Order: sequence, then structure tokens, then C-alpha cells
Amino acid sequence: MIRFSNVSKSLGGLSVLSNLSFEIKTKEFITILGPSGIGKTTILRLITGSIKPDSGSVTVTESKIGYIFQEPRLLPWRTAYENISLGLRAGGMDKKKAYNTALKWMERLGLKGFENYYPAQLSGGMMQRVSIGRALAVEPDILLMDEPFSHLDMELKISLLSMLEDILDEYRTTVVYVTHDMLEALRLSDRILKMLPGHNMEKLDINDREAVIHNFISDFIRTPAG
Amino acid sequence: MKVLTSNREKVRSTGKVQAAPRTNNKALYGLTGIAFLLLVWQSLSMIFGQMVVSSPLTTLNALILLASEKSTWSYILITFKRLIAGLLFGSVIGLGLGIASGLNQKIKLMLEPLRWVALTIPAIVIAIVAMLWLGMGNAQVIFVVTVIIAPVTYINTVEGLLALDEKLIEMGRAFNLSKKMFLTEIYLPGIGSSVMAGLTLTVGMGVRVVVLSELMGAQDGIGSAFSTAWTHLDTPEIFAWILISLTLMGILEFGILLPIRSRIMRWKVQSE
Ligand SMILES: Nc1ncnc2c1ncn2[C@@H]1O[C@H](COP(=O)(O)OP(=O)(O)OP(=O)(O)O)[C@@H](O)[C@H]1O
Ligand SMILES: [Mg+2]
Repeated sequence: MIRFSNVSKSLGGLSVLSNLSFEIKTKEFITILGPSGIGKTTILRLITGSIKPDSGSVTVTESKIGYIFQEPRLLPWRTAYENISLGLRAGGMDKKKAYNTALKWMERLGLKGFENYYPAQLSGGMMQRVSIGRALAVEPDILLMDEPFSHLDMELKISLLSMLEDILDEYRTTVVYVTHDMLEALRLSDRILKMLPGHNMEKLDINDREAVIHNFISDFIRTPAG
Repeated sequence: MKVLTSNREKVRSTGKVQAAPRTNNKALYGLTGIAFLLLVWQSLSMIFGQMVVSSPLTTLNALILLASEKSTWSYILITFKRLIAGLLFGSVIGLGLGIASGLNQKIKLMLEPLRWVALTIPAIVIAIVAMLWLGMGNAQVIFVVTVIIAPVTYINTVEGLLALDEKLIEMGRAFNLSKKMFLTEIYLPGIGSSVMAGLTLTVGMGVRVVVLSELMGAQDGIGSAFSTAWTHLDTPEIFAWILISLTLMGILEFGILLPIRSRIMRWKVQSE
């Protein structure tokens, strides 16, 4: 369970989050939706504890976190499979077993044959897949995904999305998915936290069809007017 | 299980670290440089005479003569051992203190005066003080090399850590890396390139310093050989020892450091 209670956070003198409260239940798939710069990544960083709230509290009951960052963030001096095994080894798995598990993930992510490549030798999409593998391999209690597919082309994005759905079917876990793509949000999530300018947040339940449709349509109507 | 493939992706580069076809050209330019040096050397000896600058040929003769003496080899070995010991101590101390400083601002501030002192005192003064404290021989020479090397390695380590990407550290925290894994997976490889660059520099310094301090405070080693040759005014022998020192440096740099460096920096793949 993840709970934000009246969380405020300023970064570099700018108030990013103010008095934000929400709760994410265990094994729930939540999408955080919102325009660039609104504070989506900031929420994820608060969840991992890499930054602390200025006021209010962030409670996270699970400890094993898998994080797919907005950019791949691989160790440039480690090969693809070594990068994937990083979290496993940190969790205490012995090297050999971690490497074997990593190899399985490489295969699943369509990276077979590239095990011994360094990040600099991989394409952007491949690096992002290594980063996905690194997060999934630890079998996290909480999976944080920060626009994991935003740099990828449509074809790859779609295939990765469906792969992700398959994996999550097998292996249900709490997911916080960040995107600014409403369609992705609708496809994947149980609930949507929609961040709006002026420190507002709209909470949408995917089962509340009427609200979802209304929201979806009004998004498109509002956009051209600015 | 579903397996993904995409034929769109291209791999930017192959695993080779160096571009092969250029190697020949490089060697050619290097050889030209050496030929030029030899030419200058020969001319200088013709202008100033053998007593001042012994010619390449005379030096070679002196070198062959030296090679037949057992003491020459043992001197080289002694100097080599001292150099390695000093480099090792200096690097380990510099690396250790550098990591401590890079991770802890307070330690860095405390070490700053020491670093300044160590970098500012001339090598010759350190050698004199070392003789005063440690007498003549191994301890003195190794001490001097250590004191000269440590601050340089220290600075490179601190700078390497400062240049390390904050985001990688955040990644390490998110994945719960232990202190040990932070060190082996992030910090050490992250500072590898700047430390190795520093080490190449320090090897050159080390050779100079070891010879200098041997010249002043040792009865054996290359430095003492210089001093003997000098008292006998044996110019060819002095030049022969210069060649020997250069060779020693070359072995260290190209035979030891360069392979280590390219092993460590394998991941820095050239982008064409
Ligand atoms: N380290 C920092 N120092 C100062 N300001 C920061 C810092 N990190 C983020 N910010 C600011 O906080 C705001 C929110 O940033 P955040 O990264 O959370 O946005 P985001 O919603 O993830 O945007 P995007 O969709 O573009 O990734 C931005 O205005 C950003 O400029
Ligand atoms: Mg972001």
C-alpha cells in the first residue's frame, strides 16, 4: 500500500506538489496522468524515498521496488545482462543464479544475442528494454514506470505494452504507471490519477465508465482551445 | 511466453575497441617522431661534442657494455620494485582518501590543506626530508614516490566522483544496492577513467621522482648509477641510463597501464 497524506514538495524554489493526498492499494494498477512538468516523476521519487516531502507523509508498506526510469539509466560499464541482474544481486541472489535469471529476461524481451553488449552498443529501444528487464527481474512488490515507452516507435511500444500486460497477468503486483497518454492509461489501469494545473488532482475509477468517457472527451474538446 | 523482436533496431557499433585500419598509420607517425628525435640527438652531439652529448651510437655501445654487467640488471630491478611499491602505496592512499572525500564533504575540507601542502612542496625537498627521517635506501625512495603520487591520484578520484551521474546513484538506491555494491558497481567503475588517466600521468612522475631520490639517498638503483656516472664524468653512460629510464617508463606505460586501461574502459565503445 502506498499512501500520500497532505504531501507538499518544492524543488528548486518551485512548489511542485501541494497538499496532495491519495492511496494506492496493494496489487492495484494506477496510472498517473498529467502534462509535462506537473510533478509525475516527483511522485515516484517520493515513493522510493529518494526525496522526502517538505510536509505531510508518504507511507509505503512494501520494500521491494522495481523502477523503470524515464530514461534507461543503465550502468554504462556493465553489459546488458549484468545490468538486468543488478537488482537481483542487490537482493542477495548469488551471481550465477542472477545471471541466469537475467538471461531469461533478455530472451523474453527480445534481446537474445545482445547479452554481452554494453549500453553504448545498444539502440535506445534496446536500452529501455534492458531497463524494463532490470525492474521486472526483481519481481517487485511495487513496479514504478515513468513513461517507459515514450521514446520508442509505435510498433515497439505496442508490442512492449502487450508483453507487459502478459507479464502482469502472470505476476500481479502494485503498479504505478506514469504517462501523458490517455489511451495507454485507459488500456492498462484500474484507476487514474489525473494531475491538473494548480495543484489539483482528479481521481478516476476505470469502472466508472461515465466519468471516464466524459473526461476523455472533454480532454479532446479542451485541447484545441488551449 | 511471448518473445519480442524488432527488425528496426540496429546496433550502433561492434565490440571492437580500436579501429583496426588506422593502427598502421599511427605507428608510422610515431616512428617518424622517433626518427626526428634521433636526428636532433645526433646533431646536438655533433655540435657540442661527445663530452656534452654523447651520440646515439656511442650511447648504444655504453648500453651494451652496461648490459653485460650484472649490477646493471639488479639496479634496474631495485628501482623497478621501488617504483611499483611507491605507485601502489600512493595510488591506494590517494584512491582511499579520494573516495572518502568524494562521499563526505567534511573529510574533503579537512584533507584540503594536506593536499595543498603535498602538491606544493617540491619533490627534492620531500626527498631531503625523507632522507632525514628514514635514512638512505628503500624506505626513503618509496616514501618520496608515495607522497608525490598520492595527491595526484587523490585529485583524480575526487573529480571522478564529482563527475559521476547523480541519476545512477538514485538508481542504485531505488534498487537497494548495498554499500559494497555501490562501491563495486557504481563508484569504482565510475571513477575508473579519470583515475586511469591520472595514473598514466603519475607513472611518468614516479620514474622521475624515484631516480631523483635514489640519486640523493640510495647506494643502489638507477639514480645511484646516474650519480656514479656523473662523478666519473662518463657522458655515454649517463645517456645510456637515460635510455634505460625511458625504457622502464615505456614498459610501465605501454606494457602494464595501457592493457589495464583498455580492459577497464572496454565499455567506452567508440561510436563509429
Ligand atoms: N532537481 C530539481 N530541481 C529543481 N526543480 C526540479 C527538480 N526536479 C524537478 N524539478 C521541477 O519540478 C517540476 C516537476 O518535475 P517532474 O520531473 O516531476 O515533472 P514530470 O511531471 O515528471 O514531467 P515530464 O512529463 O516532463 O517528465 C518541474 O517543473 C521541474 O522543473
Ligand atoms: Mg517525468
